[in-house]
Amino acid sequence: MTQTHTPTYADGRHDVRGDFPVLRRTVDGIDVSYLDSAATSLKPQSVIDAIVRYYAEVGANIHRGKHMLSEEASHAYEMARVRLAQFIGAQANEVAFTAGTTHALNTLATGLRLSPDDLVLVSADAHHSQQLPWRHHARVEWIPVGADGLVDLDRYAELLRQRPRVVALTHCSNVTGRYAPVAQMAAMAREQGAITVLDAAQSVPHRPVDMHALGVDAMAFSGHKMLGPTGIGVLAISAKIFDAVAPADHGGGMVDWVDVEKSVWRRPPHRFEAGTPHIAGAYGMLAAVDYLERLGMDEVAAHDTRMAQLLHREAAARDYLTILAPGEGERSGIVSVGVRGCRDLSELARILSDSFGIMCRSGHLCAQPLVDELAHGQVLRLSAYVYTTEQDALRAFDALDNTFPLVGA
Amino acid sequence: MSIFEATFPSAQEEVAEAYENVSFFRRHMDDAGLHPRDLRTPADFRRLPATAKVDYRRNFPTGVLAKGATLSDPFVFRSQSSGTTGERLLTIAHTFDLAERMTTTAGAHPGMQAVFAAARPQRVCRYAAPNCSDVECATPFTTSESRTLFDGTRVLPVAHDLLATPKSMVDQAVAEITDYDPHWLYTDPMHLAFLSRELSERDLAPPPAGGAVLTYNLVTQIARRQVDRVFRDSSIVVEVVSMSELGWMGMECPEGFVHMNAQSFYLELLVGDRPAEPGELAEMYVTSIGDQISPHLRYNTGDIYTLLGGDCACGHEFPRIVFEGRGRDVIRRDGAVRLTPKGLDRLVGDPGWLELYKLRQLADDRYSFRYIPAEGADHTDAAKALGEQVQELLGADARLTVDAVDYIECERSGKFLPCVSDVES
Repeated sequence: MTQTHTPTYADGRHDVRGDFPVLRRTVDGIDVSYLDSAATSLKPQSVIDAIVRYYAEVGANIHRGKHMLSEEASHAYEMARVRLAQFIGAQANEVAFTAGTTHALNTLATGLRLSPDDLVLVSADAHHSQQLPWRHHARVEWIPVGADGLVDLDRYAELLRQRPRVVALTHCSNVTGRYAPVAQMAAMAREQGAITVLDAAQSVPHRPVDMHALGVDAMAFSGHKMLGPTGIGVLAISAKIFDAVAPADHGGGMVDWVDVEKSVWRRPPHRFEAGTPHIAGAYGMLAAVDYLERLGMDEVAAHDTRMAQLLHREAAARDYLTILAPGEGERSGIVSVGVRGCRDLSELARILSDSFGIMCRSGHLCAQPLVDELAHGQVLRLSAYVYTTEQDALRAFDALDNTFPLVGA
Repeated sequence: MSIFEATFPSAQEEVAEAYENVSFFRRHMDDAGLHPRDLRTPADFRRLPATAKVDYRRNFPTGVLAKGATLSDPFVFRSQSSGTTGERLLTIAHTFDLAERMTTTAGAHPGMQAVFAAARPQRVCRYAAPNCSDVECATPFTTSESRTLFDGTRVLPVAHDLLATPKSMVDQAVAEITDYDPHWLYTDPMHLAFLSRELSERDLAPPPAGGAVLTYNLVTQIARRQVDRVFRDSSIVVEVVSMSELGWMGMECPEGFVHMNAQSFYLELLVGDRPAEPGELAEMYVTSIGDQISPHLRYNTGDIYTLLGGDCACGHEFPRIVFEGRGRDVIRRDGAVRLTPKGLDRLVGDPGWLELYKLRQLADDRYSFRYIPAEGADHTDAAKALGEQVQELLGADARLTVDAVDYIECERSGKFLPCVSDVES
């Protein structure tokens, strides 16, 4: 018998579902259970309102003019930066807005001016966005991850002896939900003089993350996975490595001076924000951070842990499901499974959606090397967030029980 | 008659002049059904609706300039408040009016007055938020010439985010002060405290200056201690109340009390629509005296003060006040004041374990108190106890987080505010 629980957030509420308009939808009369939050989160009304407020009431560009609307937009944009910085334990000038995690990691991989011979160590469970930029600019070796989803620290230590320029870590795998021991790995990398770059897209939304406490030199995450809008993310660069990072994009807004022969970059973080940024997105990000802080990040993390336990317990109780990276340990509210005898998990995902209102993800989850190695190329993933209830998860497993006899073996 | 009311006849004249010569004020009074002759007593005067920044902003320049005044007057001083809080303002004043207000205000401190008198021509260094000067001073490649104002004031380089100021920019500021050899410094207290900490860290002597004016911002006890530790032996340090649109309005006396200039202005300290008693939190309304270019009538400063009773041991007759903070920074819950920035400062005091702090009200019931402990200090228990005291004032149901950090951001204005509210009052 599964233990029931409801989250209790810091603002005293147990049920936040009413804040998320999408959850009021039905699919052919069936309630929606949204279990694809590792892909993107739903947005609370306050975030939607903030974005609308920018377009409806402000509308102006930032840092470009002296008029009042521009000042108001600039103020909100910079306040979003300040609050994001505080949210991750960074200085405000260490936070640059980007289009998302992928853009942030590309910006950094380009800005570090790597040569093809430079070595970059990449976690084997990395998302494509933490693999491909480094593979494009440098020589990559993989930090192995075992079948249990845990990093092989002995092998990592051996790899570090090659003195890589960069170590690209994944804080939380979007496939297995496993957390890597980042503070330990960053300290080991630092001893070898490597720059550590953290993909925090799956961790920052779910638990308190302190960039400086982790000891990483840079980290990236997206707004849309943390209740914020799509198209905006953060590249946080420690002031210690400002001088090592050149802007990847050039244009308006990132220079202090331009004449016909030379230009002078603005100080960080503005030098990393060429062109007009996603201003409405910053309004939304500020609202998202405010929403999460209102819930309390400790409570958000506790709920995430409970959902992880529930998802894994329910999956483990079914012999037709094979869990990727099973076992005890620190993980986020994600479970990826193979389904015995089911050759096309995309069809299963479609049935769960259309017949049961269960929205989940199938495929290689933008981590194809890992999923190829551990699950022959495809998994079905259920992932939770602040609005996910135990009932959502149990509905999904009931639907799987119902469907498996027809699609599996 | 109170000291406040000594200038009441002059205020009546100011209203009459404004009614005749400034179109906004004629309309303002007509709309209120008032004529200057109706304002016979201070109580009558309070019937005149207060003015606010929005009035001077919306009616600038034609509506608020007196007949015959022009912006091209060589003695006109233009002032732009930063506008980073939504309360931007472009105002003008005659330089001789500003000089008179400064001189009269400085009467509160004979020592500082002597520093000003000996400075001919005046060499002043300004160290404050970049937005407080109309020159670019926040980029490392500006030249000292490009940061020198028309009156010779040298604006020192500093980053918009004070604690993120690079060491090289601090070095540049220190070198420029030494090179410029100022008579006195015009500073934001939080900035000068930062510079003082940096000087101490470098084991450098204080820059040569006869005096240091602390304005723009609340002077916390901690900031004052950090400034005094470096400057006390070589400079006179005074707190000054000033507004960019009105100039100097109050100065700290040798006894440590701020005296408001009740000669250049007609001042009203009010609780609602009645005069404040000593000890009450009050709003300050200012009416200029003898301003022939752009008078201000019952101008709501937006700042909160407490009036002090009794005479000052320094002997100065101007009224004593305590600046409690900007109205927008006051912590309110359900509309009721819980804590002023100065009230927080009184609560925090000047403990040796604390270097810098900021209380931010995130929502009506959510608060963040972050602090930077002094190096090597045992701070955990003391911070917990302080947090409990703050919690008591905010209310038992308030959610307050208390965190030790190594960095705290400035506001976008470039000011480091120790107490700030994100909640619209």
